[in-house]
Amino acid sequence: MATQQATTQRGYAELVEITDKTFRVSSRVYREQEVFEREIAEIFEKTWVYVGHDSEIAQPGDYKTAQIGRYPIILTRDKDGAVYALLNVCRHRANAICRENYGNSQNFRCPYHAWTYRNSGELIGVPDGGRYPEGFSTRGLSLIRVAKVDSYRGLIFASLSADVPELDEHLSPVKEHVDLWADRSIGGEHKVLHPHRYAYLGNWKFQCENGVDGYHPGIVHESAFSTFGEFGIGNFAARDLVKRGSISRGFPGGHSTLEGGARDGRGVGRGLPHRAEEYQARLREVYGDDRAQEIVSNRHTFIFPNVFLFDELVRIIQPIALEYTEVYSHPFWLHGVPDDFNTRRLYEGTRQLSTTGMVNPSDLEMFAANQTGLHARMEWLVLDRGMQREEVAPNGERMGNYSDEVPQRSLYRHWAQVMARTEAGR
Amino acid sequence: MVSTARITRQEAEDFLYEEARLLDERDFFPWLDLFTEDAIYWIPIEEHSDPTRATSILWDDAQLRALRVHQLAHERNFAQSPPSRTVHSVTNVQVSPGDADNEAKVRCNLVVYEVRSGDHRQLGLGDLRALPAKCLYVLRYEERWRIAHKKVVLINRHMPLINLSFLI
Repeated sequence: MATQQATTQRGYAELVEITDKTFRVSSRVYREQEVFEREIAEIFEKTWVYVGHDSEIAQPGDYKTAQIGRYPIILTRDKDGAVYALLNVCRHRANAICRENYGNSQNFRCPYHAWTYRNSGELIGVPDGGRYPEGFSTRGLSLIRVAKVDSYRGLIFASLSADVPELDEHLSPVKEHVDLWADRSIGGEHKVLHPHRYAYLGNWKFQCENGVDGYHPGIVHESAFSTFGEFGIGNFAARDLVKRGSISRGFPGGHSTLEGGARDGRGVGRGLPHRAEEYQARLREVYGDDRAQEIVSNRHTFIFPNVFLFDELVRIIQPIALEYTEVYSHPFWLHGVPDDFNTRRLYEGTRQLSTTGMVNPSDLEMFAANQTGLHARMEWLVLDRGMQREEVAPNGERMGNYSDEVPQRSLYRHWAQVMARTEAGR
Repeated sequence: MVSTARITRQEAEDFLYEEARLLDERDFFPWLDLFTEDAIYWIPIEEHSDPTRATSILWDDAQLRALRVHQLAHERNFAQSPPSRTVHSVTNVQVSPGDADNEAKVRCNLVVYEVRSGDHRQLGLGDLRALPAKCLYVLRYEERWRIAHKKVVLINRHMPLINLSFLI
């Protein structure tokens, strides 16, 4: 009967079982409503999550709506250029005040009773305010600000809890890889475009695991890769990547990377070779040969818990329900390159990883199949791959072969810590 | 040339019904031949955007159309295992003159119903989905009518969509 005990009684830390040679994750992490509720509360609503990119709210007055855990928010830029993350909730009777996804406005007017707020949050209008009792004040009734908002290289993160390390510290284990990604724009920042939006019938963590899973591509994406091969497009043979010294990394904090490591510029602009050459020459000029090569190498960087930096896209993971997840995948424009190069990148990203991509939908099919299998309540999932040869650096960074489950283990090491964090105090 | 480029509504309907039949019967290689070599097949997110600068749900040239059809024929295309069954339902057809002498514009409404069967109790299978859209075609007369441009404007184009690994 022990296995039938409720998760709370067993403790969240026990959902990940680690020995010298085994790393097992309980199927409960994907299939129990109680676990999902706690993930939303402890991970999404208490730690740093990615909410948007500077370029989405580039101009004064620009805004974007988003969701942190289950909290609807508005990300705004005021007339002085400052960025705010505000709860999209009227202080009167808790209506959502902004119903659009993107726009530009100095003010937000609640549609219910027209309480009106500045885009920095202050309440500036209450219709027929004289009906309120003496002493009623609009001060103290500003839109609630998300406790922490900060950005790094254009990536905006927010935390509903003030009790978090600075963003710098949160990102520090993986910062080198964020820099390599951001340095692809020379003399400016990336500009993200409207996202591809899709959904799948499965738990949110499948997408987190899969984007840095080097074991599956040659199998799940065989139909795409062999078709590309038939048409002579690119060097997509996933099994080759392993031979060429490609690697996976896991970092403290749950972050990870999957790196093609092929020093051939495969990460950027494959389909327009003359532009790719120009671009790489320019990178070498600015950064030197070695760093330029690193910058254009194929690289997937996962920042716990909800964002991937890909070669052509920024991918955001939004848990909606235990078995339903939305994904918003923003193509981005490199700064300082010819338009046709960016257009080609857009085309290739859409071909591969959009809602209709030749690669992406097969991953989503695996997630639905995975969630289906979990209904059988088989207790432990096996994430041992490559444990025996994982290299651990003094700072806790772990490195393995491309197809090893190093990133997934790093995800669950951190996951277990966060999920168990406040248990003792309860 | 001018006279051959006139298309009646009935001819346009026959053309669109034939395209729908090819898609629904998964007869994809003849479907490829409906297009001109330079044709773009576009499913925008922003209806009036420039697909070279804005995100699209689908933005296919001849090569990418061919890639898709080859992938659909591949035995290990997991997003299509089991495959989609579709019904393309075409209505509200209107024709108007094209911008070139040998072209015509055709507007229609389209609802694509889609389901993947197999073990329908499993997640991701057995859900009947409907994709309503308006379509704008540019047909060009090149020995016969061909699609020079196809634009499908889905009404739920801004929303998260599930498994668009079949042809709309």
